[in-house]
Amino acid sequence: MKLRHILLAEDSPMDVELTLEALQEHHNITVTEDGEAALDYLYHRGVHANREPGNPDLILLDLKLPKLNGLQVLEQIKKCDLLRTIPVVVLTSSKEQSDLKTAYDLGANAYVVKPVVFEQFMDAVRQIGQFWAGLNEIPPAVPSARN
Amino acid sequence: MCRSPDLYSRSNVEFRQAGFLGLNLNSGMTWDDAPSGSDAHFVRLFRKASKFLAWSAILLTVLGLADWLSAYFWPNYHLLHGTAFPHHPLIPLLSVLVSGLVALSVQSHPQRTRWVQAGIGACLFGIGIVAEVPFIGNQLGLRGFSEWVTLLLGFAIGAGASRMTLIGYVRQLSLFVLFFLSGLIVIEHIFETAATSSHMLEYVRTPWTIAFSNLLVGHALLFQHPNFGIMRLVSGNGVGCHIMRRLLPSVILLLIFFGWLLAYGGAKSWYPSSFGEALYAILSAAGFTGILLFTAASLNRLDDERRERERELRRSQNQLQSVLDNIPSIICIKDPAGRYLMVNATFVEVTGFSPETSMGKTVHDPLPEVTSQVVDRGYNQAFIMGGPVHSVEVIPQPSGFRTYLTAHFPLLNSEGEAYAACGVYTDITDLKRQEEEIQRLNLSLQEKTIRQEAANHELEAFSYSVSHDLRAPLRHIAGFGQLLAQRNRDKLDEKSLHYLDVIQTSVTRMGMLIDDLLSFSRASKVELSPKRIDTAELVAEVRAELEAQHSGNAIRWEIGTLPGIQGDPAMIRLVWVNLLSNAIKYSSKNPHPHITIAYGPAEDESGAFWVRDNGAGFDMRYADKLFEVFQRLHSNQEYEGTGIGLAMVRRILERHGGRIWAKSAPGEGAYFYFVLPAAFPPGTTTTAEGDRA
Repeated sequence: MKLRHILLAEDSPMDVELTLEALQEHHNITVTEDGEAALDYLYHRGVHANREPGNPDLILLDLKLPKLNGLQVLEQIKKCDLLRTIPVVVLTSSKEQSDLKTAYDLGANAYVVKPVVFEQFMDAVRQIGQFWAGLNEIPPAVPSARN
Repeated sequence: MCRSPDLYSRSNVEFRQAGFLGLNLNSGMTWDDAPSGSDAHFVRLFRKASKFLAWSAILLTVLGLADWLSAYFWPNYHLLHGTAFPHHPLIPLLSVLVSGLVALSVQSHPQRTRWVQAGIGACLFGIGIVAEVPFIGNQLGLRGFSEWVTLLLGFAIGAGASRMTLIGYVRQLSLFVLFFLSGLIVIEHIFETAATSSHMLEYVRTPWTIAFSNLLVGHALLFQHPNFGIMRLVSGNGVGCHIMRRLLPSVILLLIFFGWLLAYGGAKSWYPSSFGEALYAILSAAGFTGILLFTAASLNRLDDERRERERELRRSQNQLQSVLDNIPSIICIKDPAGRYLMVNATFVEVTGFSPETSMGKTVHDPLPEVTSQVVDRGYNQAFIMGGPVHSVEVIPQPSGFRTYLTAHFPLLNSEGEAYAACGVYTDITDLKRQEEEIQRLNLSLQEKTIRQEAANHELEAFSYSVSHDLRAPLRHIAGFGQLLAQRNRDKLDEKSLHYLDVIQTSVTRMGMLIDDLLSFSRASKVELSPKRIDTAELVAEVRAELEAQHSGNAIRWEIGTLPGIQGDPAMIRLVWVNLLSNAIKYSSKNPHPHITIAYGPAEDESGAFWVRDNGAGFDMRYADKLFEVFQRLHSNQEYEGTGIGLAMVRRILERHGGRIWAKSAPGEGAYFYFVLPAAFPPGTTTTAEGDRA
């Protein structure tokens, strides 16, 4: 199976480690530690100015991110014509109804609360990867966003 | 306490007295401007009579002139008089004519004719004087009785233009002199028809036409001002005026008639003169007696009417006084000089002064200086403004400062002048205090609300933080513990694996606690949006959901008729989820779990929902602890749980205005009852609205 490209925006190194544990076998994963870095990556800015062209197949987005938070990043992505087709799965600890509602209002494709129990967590992340970065099809020929 | 109105209120007699007899010497007023005391009906009648008399005088004068002319040209033909005019009648006739016209025009245009009136009056007066100067009068053959009358008419007309009261009285006097003179001639003429000759007529040489028309025009001039002077005695509405109107014309006419009868009977030799005189005397006595009887009867009738009116007045005064006395406000009426005319019982109560001691006194007498200044200001403003003045005053009292809502308004007489002012003082000290207290409470409530809102906000931030941040490390502990176990499964001994297992269990339990705590805090603070809920449907849904997760012995469910309720669907759902999952959990060790759900009377409540299970039950000694946060009656080994479910149920029900209680005994199952104030009686069709989240 072709390695699909996932952008993981997550500030907690431990969560990153656990997520990578679940996903890295089958996916090519880029990690950004804050909201701004995530957008920089998508827009080929800053340290990511010279990255390979092409959008990720999936964005896993934590809500509690330094600098720009997850919801702000989500808003930017879904407002941008070149990025909005990328599936964004919010992967967060927050069970708050307000977060859930805002995320969907802003156009999140899925909202998953990180399970506390390890097996459930691994299972959930794997399933996300399988579905969104495996089974799910997105429109082709989306030019890479540059600004 | 004596509440006789006579004691409390000095009647306004003194105000009426100002208009007594109409002898108002206030020179600023015109004669006709003072109608008080006069009867409007009679005033109108006299004005009409004045016009009628003026027209009659003019007509008679024209006839007199025609007669004089006819006698002049045709000495043997006489229109009115048996004999020719003994002297030149032109001046008296013309003076009557002019006077009649003046009487008419003055009534139509009182202001415009003032100077004309004065001029004409002066002319006639002048002619009268000139005619009476012996030398000139004798030369012209004018000097006689009629010229005196012309002089009087001239004065009456001229004086009519003046606004001075004194001149008005002299004018009326001059007219009475005129009536005396002219009346004498007229009566003499009437008697002449009876007597053969009259020396008197020989002397005055005045024809009856002139005398009679003088009489008519004199009355026309007198009746011009029915409100003034002596006329008020006739046109007024007093008893004296009533007598005047009845007695005066009848006495005059009766005396003339009897006098004529005496003369006529004597001339015709119907009876000897002594009998005639006796007849005159007895007829006069009888006539007067009749008139007096008639007048007395009519006066008595008037008196009865007046007494009835007085009774009415007293009744309404009593009514008014008892209303005034029972009003909890101070009410007092004062004249412009500041003297009390009326005070009510509250005034007496507050000031401690009796009506007798305060009546007629000024405000400074019964009240202390500071108070009276405030009170005076209110009354003065009412007099100045001429209308009601409202204010709030703080007035010192022996008991301390009191706040009064005051209203002062002038009391007007029929002329629209303020003769007194009324002050109403309502003590609003207590109201004011209460208002201040309410304001203070409101303010502190607002402060509390702000603090509460801030606390709520903090709590929200806190619970968000708990939700997000507490879970993350737990996940890490669990995750890395598990990774550790996977990695070293072969190297770890059984004990180490057990430790890792304990870590996993604790983490899971911690996660549950966090979730339940968050649910509890949400149930406490989330805004309720009440909708109509079909309880039966909701219970069926919850039961199906819980049964799907249940893996123990098959449960026997018994569900009665459940009424619909009004409540927040998500919250009420939590109530049922917790109660039913509790029932399932605690009866799970019974080989035949049996859960009953019903609605019916319980304890003091006419209708309560209840859930019964045949599970472990509990000791009623600990019933209080049941609904408190983190309080459990069973160990976690026995029955898993966080100790939050029932606390949350109670919180939700309380927020809906309801309550929950439980009954049980160890090993005998448990009853959980709850009531909601918005419960509808069973059988009510309910329509489920909104989502069933």
